Amino acid sequence: MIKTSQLQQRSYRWLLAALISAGGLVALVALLLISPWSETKAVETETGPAEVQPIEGTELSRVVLTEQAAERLGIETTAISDSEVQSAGGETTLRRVVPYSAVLYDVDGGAFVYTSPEPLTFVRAPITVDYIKGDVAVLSDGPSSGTAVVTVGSAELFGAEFEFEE
Amino acid sequence: MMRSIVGWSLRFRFLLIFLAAGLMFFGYRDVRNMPVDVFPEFAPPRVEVQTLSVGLSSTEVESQVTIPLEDALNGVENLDVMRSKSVPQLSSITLIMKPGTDLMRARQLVSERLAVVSPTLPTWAAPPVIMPPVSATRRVLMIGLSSDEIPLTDLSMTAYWKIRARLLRVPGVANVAIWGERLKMLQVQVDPERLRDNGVSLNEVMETTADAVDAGLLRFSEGAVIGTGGYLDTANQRLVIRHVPPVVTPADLGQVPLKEHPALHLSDVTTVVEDHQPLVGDAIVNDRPGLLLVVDKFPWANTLDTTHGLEQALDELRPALAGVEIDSDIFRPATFIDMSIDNLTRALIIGSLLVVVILIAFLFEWRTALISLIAMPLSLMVALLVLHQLGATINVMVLAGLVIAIGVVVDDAIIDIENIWRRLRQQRTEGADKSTAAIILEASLEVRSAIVHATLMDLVVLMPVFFLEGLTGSFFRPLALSFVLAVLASMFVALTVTPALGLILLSKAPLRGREPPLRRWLQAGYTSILRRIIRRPSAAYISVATVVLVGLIVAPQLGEELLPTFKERDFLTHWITAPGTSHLEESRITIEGTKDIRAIPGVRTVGAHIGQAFLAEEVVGINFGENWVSVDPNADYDPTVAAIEETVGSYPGLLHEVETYLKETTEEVLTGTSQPIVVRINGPDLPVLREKAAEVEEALSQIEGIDELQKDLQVDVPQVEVEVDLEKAQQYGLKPGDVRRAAGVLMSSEEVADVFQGGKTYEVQVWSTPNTRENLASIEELLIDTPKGGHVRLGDIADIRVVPTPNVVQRENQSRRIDVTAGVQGRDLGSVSRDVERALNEIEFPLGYTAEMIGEFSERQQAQDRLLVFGIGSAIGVLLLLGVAFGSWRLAILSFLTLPSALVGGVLAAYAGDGVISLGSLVGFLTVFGIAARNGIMLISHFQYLEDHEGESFGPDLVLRGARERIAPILMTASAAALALVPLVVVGSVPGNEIEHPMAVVILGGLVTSTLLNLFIVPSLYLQFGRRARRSAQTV
Repeated sequence: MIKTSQLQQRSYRWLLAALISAGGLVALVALLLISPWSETKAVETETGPAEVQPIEGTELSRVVLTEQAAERLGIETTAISDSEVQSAGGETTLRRVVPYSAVLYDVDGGAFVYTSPEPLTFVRAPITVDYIKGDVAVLSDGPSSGTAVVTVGSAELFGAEFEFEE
Repeated sequence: MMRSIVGWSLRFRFLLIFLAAGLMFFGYRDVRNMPVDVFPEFAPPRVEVQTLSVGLSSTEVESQVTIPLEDALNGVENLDVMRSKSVPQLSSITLIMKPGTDLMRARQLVSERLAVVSPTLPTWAAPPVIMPPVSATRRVLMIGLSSDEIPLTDLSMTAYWKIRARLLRVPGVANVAIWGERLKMLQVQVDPERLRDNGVSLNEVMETTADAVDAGLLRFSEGAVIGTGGYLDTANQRLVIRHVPPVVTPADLGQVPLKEHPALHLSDVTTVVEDHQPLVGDAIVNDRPGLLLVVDKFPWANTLDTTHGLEQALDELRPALAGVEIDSDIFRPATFIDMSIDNLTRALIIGSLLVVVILIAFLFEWRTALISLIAMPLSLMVALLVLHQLGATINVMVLAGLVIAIGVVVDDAIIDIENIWRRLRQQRTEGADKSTAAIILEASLEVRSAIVHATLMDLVVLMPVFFLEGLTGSFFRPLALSFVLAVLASMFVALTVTPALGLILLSKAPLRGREPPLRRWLQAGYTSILRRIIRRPSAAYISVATVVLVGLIVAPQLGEELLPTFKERDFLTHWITAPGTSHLEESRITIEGTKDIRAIPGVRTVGAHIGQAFLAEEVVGINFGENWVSVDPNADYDPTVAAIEETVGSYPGLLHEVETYLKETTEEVLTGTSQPIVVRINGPDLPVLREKAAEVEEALSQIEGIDELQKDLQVDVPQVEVEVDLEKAQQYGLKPGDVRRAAGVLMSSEEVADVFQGGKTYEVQVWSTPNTRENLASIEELLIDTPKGGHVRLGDIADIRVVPTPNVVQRENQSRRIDVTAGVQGRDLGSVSRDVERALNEIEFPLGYTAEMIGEFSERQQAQDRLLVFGIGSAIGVLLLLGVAFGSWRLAILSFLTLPSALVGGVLAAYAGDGVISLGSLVGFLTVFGIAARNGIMLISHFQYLEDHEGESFGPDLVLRGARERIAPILMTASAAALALVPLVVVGSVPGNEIEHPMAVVILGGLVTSTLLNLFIVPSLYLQFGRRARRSAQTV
């Protein structure tokens, strides 16, 4: 008789134990569900090496580089200057010139350069090339003398402006 | 039948053991030499046709070369998909054949069609070439050559004529492409103004140059026919005459007098130099222009052997290449394979040692441990040998199949011998009246039929994998094959070798003495717990229900992924500037890039290739570059990769993504691109395609988790168009053809002769001086000879303008197409793909334009759907087998219903681990299912055996006795299987383990729940539902 009641007590205890452990399992799972583990990893939004700011009223944009980005690209600039150049006719005149390595062409043949109004800021500016003498382009229209233009790295600025980066 | 097999094995045991030993010995040697690779050959057979089209723009290439070729090749037998790419000066068509097509036959049929269509192509399109057949992971080695002393032109000639020729002899090498090749040649550079000042015409210069050398190539020049030397016959001797070419150096050529002005020499009116051809590609090695040799392998070659052959060839060449730096570490996939094999072998050895520990702890008898230890490798060896005979390579999938078979192999090895041991002990202690052989025979057969049913169940459960198609099929079939072979081998060994060894080793063994303490302790503890549980079965059912509930809650939380990321040490980053960028600029920015990447600690070396190379796989413009980064094997993996990604990401204005080669090629094979999400838009008109692509890109950019979103780089670039004004040209007596020829020679050079010397061929070209073609205005200033003897500016007789032209035209199945691709970051692929589908459905496409989503997700979706259908078929098969095994449908159905709860452990383990389910972990689930079924069958059939053959009556005592007798083998096999896999879990996702790790995690977790299920739930179930109507003896 004692044995049976002991057994019954024991059985009762085992059942209780089983229920408690089952409950514990459910609680554990609930914890897991609301824990940070189950959250998706936050998508990192960091500022990239270049920021493109559209300029209102034009189809142009300002490309702003970080200092590291400019250093990576090896950006070099020089100023548009007035120099003595020989024209086709042979006379020497004072003309606005820019190194030919600063000149880019758009799909319709229009020429442009990347000016740098402030350090690390670059804006496209259209130019009209009169003729090319050696490695300078003689301008008949474009930004005024003294404007800094990019001579090394314009292709990447072009890519950044038109978002060829991923 | 099994009785006769076991009986025979016992009778001829020594012969059998001798045969087994021989198998192990010779098998080991054979298996050591089996070809090893990372992946099975997963790409469908492909034929690629490239056609060099000098001087044509992309749309011209498309209309004049690509489309006629596509029309001719359409409908080739077994063609699945035809893709093409037309870039300036190159057309490439890829024919993807249906899986299983004979590659050689396909190539034969394609070449027959090409022979018909080639004569109809424009003559400036070089004949179409069928590229050598290559493997899906084609690049096997990349070798960088650079030198401080030797000029690149000389190095290029040596590389092509000597190094490449030697490397092609290595077995397994399909092709060696050389980037950065600067062919050494003689160039006669004309300055039109200088010609005009001397009154000499361009034609005259060309004809003089052609005639100056033996083999003139101008068809109407006098030198076009190479005169032979002939011979002199005297009465006695024949003396052969040879003309030694006097013109070898530029100085020699310069001294040649002009055809119509004999007083003048070539060097008087032109600049004769040694230079190289106009470049369409380049290579950057050691931060300066160099040569990059890319070696591709055949589909049937294996990476390790080919790599060793190549390295041996390089060692042979090295002494003759003093002054040349040879870097063969830039890309070497063989390193990854070596590391993988090492890691996996180490894990398996440690696993086996742990298994030994378990055996000894449970059995306390070294003889039985020895028998199990012999049986396990024997089964694996038989499986490998059969694979070898079938011609398979050892790859990660085959190894994964063997890993999941470990559970079954261990089970087979232990169950039999444990039962033999138990029965022998029993008979010995109680007094033997049967011979040892008879006892062993009965003991083996006691468990055998249950094992056979369980094994069949394992096979049925894995059957769906054989029916997978496409990429997933070619990946997972080797896995299923090696699993099936291992399981069958293990069953065969358990029927033959194990009883034989048992008879030999155990017949004289004492086997008396006390039961091993562990066994006794386990049995006592288990029996007392089980007694309580079977009295109150409701507790058991509640637990089962809870566990299933937990599983159902957790399962949807898991992410999904097709293939894991392989921890390769070789990376590539694309380095692409805006289309239309020059060679100079792409070179410069690549040098900047490689310098910065090389500076990262942990990076061993960097090599880059830009643009195209002759007969190579890159059909791109010169704005396209790839940097190949090799990470030191000893460097810390994750920080180095993070540093590389950060450095690469700090460059604006460039397309750059960091990937591993394996990942890129698997995705490329899937879709023709290298991103997991691909939206393909088909249609006729390029501007409309681009507009729709922009719309799709905008829609996708709103979806969370989309990363690296981009359209195909199909943009317009500026192109100079020259159109001769007929009227103006007529005034000078010029025909448009004359103008085109002259302008062509001046702007892009023309080959007019060849010099053969020293076993090499050197071209002789006529070109213009560099400052004749240095800027946009130069074209207008070009002087064209007129028939009247004067000259005229090109700008005066032609309209020269800059117009937009597409940089590339891509087609699929004879329709133009554009892709929008994206990677996935921060969310799992499945949910992102579903969002993309939703977004696509909201965009309207005009008539004739379609969009489809291809890529990793849809492939996996199809695979899953198929798996589901076949999975249901398998489940029915399992149910039938259970019914046959138990002889009771009630029991079979109940057993079947409780099996899924065994999987919950695997689900929880996957959740706690990586949190994703890949097809690898799905296979792990299949294994757990098989193990749970196996143990359930074992237990229940033992109950039935006790009732039928040992006179126990149905009731709690039957169940308790049966369970007590089975606890030891059940725990033994569970812990042995678990411990064998523990090293794979602990070591984590290192090279070689990327597929095995999630599989092992799932199996480990599943083993826990399935063992608990078997130990505590199955006995209760049997007690409640297992009473049978008739107590007839079961046929075993």
